[in-house]
Amino acid sequence: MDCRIIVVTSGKGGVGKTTTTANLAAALAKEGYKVVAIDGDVGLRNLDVIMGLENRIVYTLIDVVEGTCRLNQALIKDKRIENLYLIPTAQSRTKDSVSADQMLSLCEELRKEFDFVLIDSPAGIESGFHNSAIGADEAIVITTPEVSAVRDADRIIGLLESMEKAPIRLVINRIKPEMVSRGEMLDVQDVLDILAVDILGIVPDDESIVTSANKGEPLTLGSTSQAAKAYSNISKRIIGEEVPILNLFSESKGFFSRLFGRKK
Amino acid sequence: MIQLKGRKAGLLRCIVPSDISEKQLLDEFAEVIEKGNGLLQGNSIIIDMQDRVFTPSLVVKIWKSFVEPTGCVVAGWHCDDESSLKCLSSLGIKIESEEEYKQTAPAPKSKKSTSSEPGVFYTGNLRGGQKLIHNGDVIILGRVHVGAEIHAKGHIIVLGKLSGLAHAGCYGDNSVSVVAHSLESTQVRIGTKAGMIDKSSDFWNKPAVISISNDEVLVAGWPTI
Repeated sequence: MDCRIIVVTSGKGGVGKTTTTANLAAALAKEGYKVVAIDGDVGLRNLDVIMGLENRIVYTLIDVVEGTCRLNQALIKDKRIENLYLIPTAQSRTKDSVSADQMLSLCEELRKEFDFVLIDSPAGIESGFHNSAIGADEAIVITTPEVSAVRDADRIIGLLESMEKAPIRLVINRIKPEMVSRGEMLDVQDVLDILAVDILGIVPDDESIVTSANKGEPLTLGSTSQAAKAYSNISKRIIGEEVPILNLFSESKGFFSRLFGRKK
Repeated sequence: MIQLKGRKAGLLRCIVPSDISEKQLLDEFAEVIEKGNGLLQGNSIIIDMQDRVFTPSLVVKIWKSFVEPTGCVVAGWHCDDESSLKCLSSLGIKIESEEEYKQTAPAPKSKKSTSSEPGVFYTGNLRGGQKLIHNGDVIILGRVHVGAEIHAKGHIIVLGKLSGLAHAGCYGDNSVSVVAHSLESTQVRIGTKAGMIDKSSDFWNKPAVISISNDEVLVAGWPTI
C-alpha cells in the first residue's frame, strides 16, 4: 500500500495528541503495518516517554535533518511490537531548529519505507505546527469536549484546510458520559455541529491512560480498558474497516442502574 | 487576492492575502505578473504578508516566482505575525519599520467612499481565525464559525449559521444590513454601531435581519413573503 502520512494535531495543548499518536502507532503496528511515529514537538518532547522508549534515544530528528546521522540511526525500533519505530526529537533545541523543507524531505524519505508515518504535532498554530503538518497527507485533529478546545480545533482545521490536507478527521478525547448526561459537558453531536468535520472516534476519560503514560506502555499493547478499545477501533477505522463508534452512554446508564437498583 | 497599492513615498505595496493556500498564492503571483509586469519593472515594492504564518521556503518561492521575473526592487517586507517576523529576521531580510509602515500603507478609505467592488459569493465555512474582507457586498453560502470575521463595505448575508463577527458597512455606512439564516453571534456591527445580542433573545438561533433604525441596532425576523 502507498504510505500514508498523518499529522496528529489539535491547536490546544494537553488534549491528548501524544497519547493518541503513541496508541494509534502501536495499534497500527499490531495490525501488521510498518509504522513510524515522529515527535514534532521540538524542545518539549514527550512521545518517547509515552511510548516507553526514552532510554534508547541516541540520535534525534534534529540530528537527522542537520545531517549529523543517517535516518536509520535515529530510528528506534520498539522491541515489543514488530514494525513499530520512533523518531524522537531533541529536548535541548527549539522549534526553529527544523525547517518546513527539512520536514518535507524527511517525510518523502520515510514514505519509501513505511506504511504509516504519524507525526505528533506541538500545540499552537506557529511554525512547530506548520512544520509538522507540511509533509502530511491527512490529519487527525484531537479535541476534548470543552468550548476552548473546540474553538482551537476549529482554528486548526481551518489552517489544515488551507494547507489542503485531506481527509481531516476528528477524535474527541476525555468524554465523561455522566457529565454529558447532566448537561455539564458538550456531547459528541454538539462538537460535530460546531466543527463540521467527520468523526474518527471518541475516547472516554479513563484512568488507565494516566497509568499507561507513566509506565510508558501504550494501552493498545494489550490493555482491555475502554480507552484501549476506543484507540484500537480508531486504528481500524484508519485502515478502512467499518467499526461502530463506542456507545459510552448506554454502558454508563447500566452502571448507574446497578448502583441505584433501577431497572434497565 | 493579491493587491497592488501605493505609490505613497514612491513605493508600491503588494498586499498578500493570508487566508489562501500557498499554491493559490503562487498562482495569484503568476497572474499579477501577467497583468502588471510593466508596472513593476524597476519599481520599489513593499511585500506585505499581513498576518500570514510562513517559513523561509515561501520567501524563497516568492522571490523566485515574483521578484526576479518582474525585476522589481524589494524595499522591505511587512508582516503582523511574530513567528514569521522572526523568520524574516533570521534570513537577514529588511523588515518595514512602524514609521515606514505609516508612510507607505494605503490611507484608510473615507467614510463617504463611493467606489465598490462587485459582491463576493463565498461557498464554504469560515472557521475561527479566518477573515473575509471585501469592498462590497458579501454573501456566504455556509457557516461563519466563532472567531471568524467578515468585514464588508456593503451588506452581509450569511445563508447558514452566523456565530462569528459580521461588520457590514465597515467604512462607516450605517444604511446596510446583516442577514443571517441562523443568528448565533453575540455581537453584530453595522457602520459605526455595534449591537450586542443575548442568547436569550427571541431571535437567537433563528433567521434574522439586523439593521440600524433611529440610530440603534435592531434585530428583526426574516420578512414573510
